[in-house]
Amino acid sequence: MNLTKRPLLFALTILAVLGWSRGAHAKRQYPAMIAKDLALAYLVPCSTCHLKGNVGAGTAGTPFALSLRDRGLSGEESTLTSALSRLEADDVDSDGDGIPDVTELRSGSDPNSSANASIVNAQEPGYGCGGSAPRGTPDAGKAFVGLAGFGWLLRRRRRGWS
Amino acid sequence: MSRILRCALVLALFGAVSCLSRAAYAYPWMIRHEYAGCATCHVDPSGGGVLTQYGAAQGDLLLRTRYGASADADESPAAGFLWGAVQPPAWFLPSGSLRTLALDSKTGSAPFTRDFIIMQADLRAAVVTGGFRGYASIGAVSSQGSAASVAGSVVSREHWLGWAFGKDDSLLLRAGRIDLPFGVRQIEHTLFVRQATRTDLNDTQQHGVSLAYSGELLRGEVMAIAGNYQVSPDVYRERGYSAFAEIAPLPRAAFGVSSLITHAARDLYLRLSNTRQAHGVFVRAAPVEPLVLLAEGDLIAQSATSATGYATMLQADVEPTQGIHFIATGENMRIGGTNSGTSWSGWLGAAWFFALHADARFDFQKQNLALGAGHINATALMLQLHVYL
Repeated sequence: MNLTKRPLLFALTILAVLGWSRGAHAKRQYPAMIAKDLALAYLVPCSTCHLKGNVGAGTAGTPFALSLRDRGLSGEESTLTSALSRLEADDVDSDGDGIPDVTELRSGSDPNSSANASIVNAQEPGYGCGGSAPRGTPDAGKAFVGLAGFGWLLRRRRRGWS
Repeated sequence: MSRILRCALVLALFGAVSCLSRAAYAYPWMIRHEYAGCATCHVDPSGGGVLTQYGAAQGDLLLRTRYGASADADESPAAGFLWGAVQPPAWFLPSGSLRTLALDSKTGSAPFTRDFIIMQADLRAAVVTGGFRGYASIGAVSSQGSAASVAGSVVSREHWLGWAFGKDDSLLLRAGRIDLPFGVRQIEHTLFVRQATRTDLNDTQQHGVSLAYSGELLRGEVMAIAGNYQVSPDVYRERGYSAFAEIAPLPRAAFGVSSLITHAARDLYLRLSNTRQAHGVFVRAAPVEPLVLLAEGDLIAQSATSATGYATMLQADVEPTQGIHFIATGENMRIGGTNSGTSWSGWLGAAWFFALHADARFDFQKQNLALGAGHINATALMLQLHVYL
């Protein structure tokens, strides 16, 4: 094996190993849990926590989501209720408009926007040719299958196809 | 097994990598090798994405660690597509990229959380014959709601048709979904300057028509933005223009200006009618070959919040020996608006282009983010592995 191929094989091994790990992801049941905890008559849109409504690992980056994460929100569902309680107790105002986030949610305005846009029954952006709004996070396990297959093929190529 | 079948199998498996996604590769620090422009190595004259045959060769000769090989040696036969396993015709340039990220992050007083993200799992191809240029990418992501989605988790970041003309094909007129011409085109799509101006390589491409010019001294591109037709309904589509111009008075120094104005009836972030403006300057310079400095400063205005702000970035890339990079980045941003403070961020990183078509990168990032009237600290440790075809 020459020096250029050995590191490549190492990289593919690392890629495959990384494929096993799985971190905190968005949960499609979170909007309903927020509605229940705060007695809202509507479901908050995904974009309240996920930038542009793009849901998946590492996408919960709105000011409201950062405030929740600072108060213990993780990928575990059990952390949402306690984080919301702490958010309310701390009177957190993520967009700096003078109205606490929980008050904004109860009045139906966006806690991320100092312009106070309504989020009640708002038409969320749809993505793709069909324009469907995001609904949750697909299983990252599919990545591992693809990565492992890709590595296997490269190994076969190195040995010569037969 | 026939070569065509082998190739098809590899491509099919690669396409089956259904996960998250982000970013293409674009290395503005190549200016250290006196490549002030991008069109020599990339089909997109403003940089990023599919490499020309010449660009693929430079990936072997100038990017990766050579492990003692003679500096004047020719490029390896494996420098081409799929490590040279197949040799497509000269007019057809297939490519692909897989970039993974292991991310440990911490926000405020919360503990660290770990995410594994496939930032990019894209297949790309370009056709270059005579003046004709065609380009398309297709990939899969494990997130939903990407602005580049064509169906569910399937994304197409770029697809365009164009015609090159003028002396040495220095002009390219094209239409389709195109990376917005603005600022320094680099892979760090979460930089404040890229986020605040919405001009990253991840998913902020727009449909429209652009004219690009690539000359020895000057390069630039102006694009009429018709909107992102992969987002609906129409009220969310931004329309306007984006443009940059860059002059390279020295082989290793280039100075540019950028400008963007768009309007959407309903802004994707603010949910209100919004006219967005961003205007800025940027610099790429290599005072000595191992050191490249990249800098950008942009002013930002948004009508929905009657706010004006800014975003700036300064990055130093040091390559002490070929293939190994140490990267330091400082940035800040103030979006403006009620009680809006200034966010700060610092990155320290190292990247190693350790093999043909493969590199790894580690970054430590510390942020102090403005949140309402206060601030919040965030820390991230990032390990990326990147393989391209």
